[in-house]
Amino acid sequence: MTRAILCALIAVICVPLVLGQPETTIILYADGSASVEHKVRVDYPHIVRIRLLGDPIYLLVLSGDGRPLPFNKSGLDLTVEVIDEVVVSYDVEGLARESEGVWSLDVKGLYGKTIVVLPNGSVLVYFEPPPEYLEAYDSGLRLVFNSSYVTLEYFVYEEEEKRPLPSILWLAVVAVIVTSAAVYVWRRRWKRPQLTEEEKAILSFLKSRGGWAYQSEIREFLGLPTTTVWRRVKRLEELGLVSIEKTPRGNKVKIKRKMALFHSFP
Amino acid sequence: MWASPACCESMRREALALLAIALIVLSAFSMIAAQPQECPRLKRAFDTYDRAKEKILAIAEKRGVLDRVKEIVDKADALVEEARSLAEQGNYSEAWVELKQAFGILRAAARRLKVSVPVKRRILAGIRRVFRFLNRLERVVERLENASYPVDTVKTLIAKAKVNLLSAKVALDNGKIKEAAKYLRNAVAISRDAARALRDLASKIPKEKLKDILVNYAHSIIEHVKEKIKSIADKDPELGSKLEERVLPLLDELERAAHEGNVTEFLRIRREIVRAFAEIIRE
Repeated sequence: MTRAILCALIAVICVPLVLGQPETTIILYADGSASVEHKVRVDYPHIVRIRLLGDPIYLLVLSGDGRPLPFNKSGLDLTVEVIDEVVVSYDVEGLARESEGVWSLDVKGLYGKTIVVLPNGSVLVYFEPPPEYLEAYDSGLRLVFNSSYVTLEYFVYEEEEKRPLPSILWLAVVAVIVTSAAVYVWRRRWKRPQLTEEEKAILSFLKSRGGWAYQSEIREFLGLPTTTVWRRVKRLEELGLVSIEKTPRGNKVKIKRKMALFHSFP
Repeated sequence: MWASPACCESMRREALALLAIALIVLSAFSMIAAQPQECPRLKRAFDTYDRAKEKILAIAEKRGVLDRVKEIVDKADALVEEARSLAEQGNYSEAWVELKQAFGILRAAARRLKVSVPVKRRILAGIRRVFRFLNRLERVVERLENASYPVDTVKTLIAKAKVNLLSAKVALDNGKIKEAAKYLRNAVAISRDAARALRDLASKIPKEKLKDILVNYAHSIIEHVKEKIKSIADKDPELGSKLEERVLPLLDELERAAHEGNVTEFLRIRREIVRAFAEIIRE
């Protein structure tokens, strides 16, 4: 009897030594389900027994180099012969249970480090024992424990979503913006400019000449100095009312057709 | 009735061993019990309390029940203040007890808010979970494919499951909850088949490929086991030689089984190697 107790005690103390540093990761989702991973690295080839945290939906038992390992499963107990490392991963539904909007996670029989990742938008309202480490993680919370049990309570709060506009409404909004912009540009571009009498005269002259004339002809017609005519023509070009083309005979000033449609000059 | 001196000696040794072990166990338990006393952990607990309280009050305000909830939270705050002053005095375990009570009150306040997770979010959580699993499976399959495993069936199942997940996501985006749930269920069922197919991969390997895979696997085991024996022998030559004597012939057998392409024998010897190690080290 004493021997049996001694053996049991030795086994309890020695298991973590044999198993190196086992690590359990529990990723919780907003529906209370979880992805669980137990990673056990053994110091020498060893038979590893792992207690699963719940009935697995699907179970992967892989060696350190990713090869599927044979295993025995009886209830929630998994036995696997490990040469160097074993990674057991599975999903469990209902690992966290909800009561009046508060979710609770209660896991026992853990060895080594346990990492718990709470879903996005989680607010922790209770824990036992206090975590070794706690940090924000991908809008959720990541807690690290080094105890044989973990009790957590949290609620998941989702900020009320700003309803996205339906695509047709988006199109309408874009169309309105584009139209307004187009009208604005159009109006700016086509705004009737304030012309001087000389400029009006130049345009009338060009119209009477079939839409174009040489700069020297304009000067002769208006009887103005060359520089004054040049300045007036240049301004008309800047306003987009005429175009200037350099030719061997001198500058050819052409009235722009579009402009002619919108401006009526005396 | 008196016990013989030899028997007494053995009992005394056992009692001493038991005492030593009890001391180790007690020290381990006291370490666990002492954990909440660590100051940084308590600080984190206070921070968590503050954050949770802030959030609860913000939600209560949004829902127009701030007064009622604040009344409850104030009680918790009073306890936290006490806990803070206890912590300042260095009474960490007492501070933790007070803080735990405050958390209990905070939890009651949170319950009053009845913050529920919408169905849409729950389904989305399911989709994310299965996606995560499939991505993991894909990585495993990729490695196995490089090691010449016949992974076509698993790959097809992964692709099928992913199609169902995408359909679930589209249905969810269009507000078709029931349809999304149906696609998600399909994806889960197919993923389960994919995991099973991966598990049964060893039995599906064609003979021409089997030898190469087993030889490759045997080499990685042999290399690792020999390395382990060497490191043990460096520390404990007697144990090392025991292991060498028992395990090295098994490694030869393992290599032979691999060259013969005999999966059953290969797995049996692999199991035996692990058991031999466990037995010798336990001795």
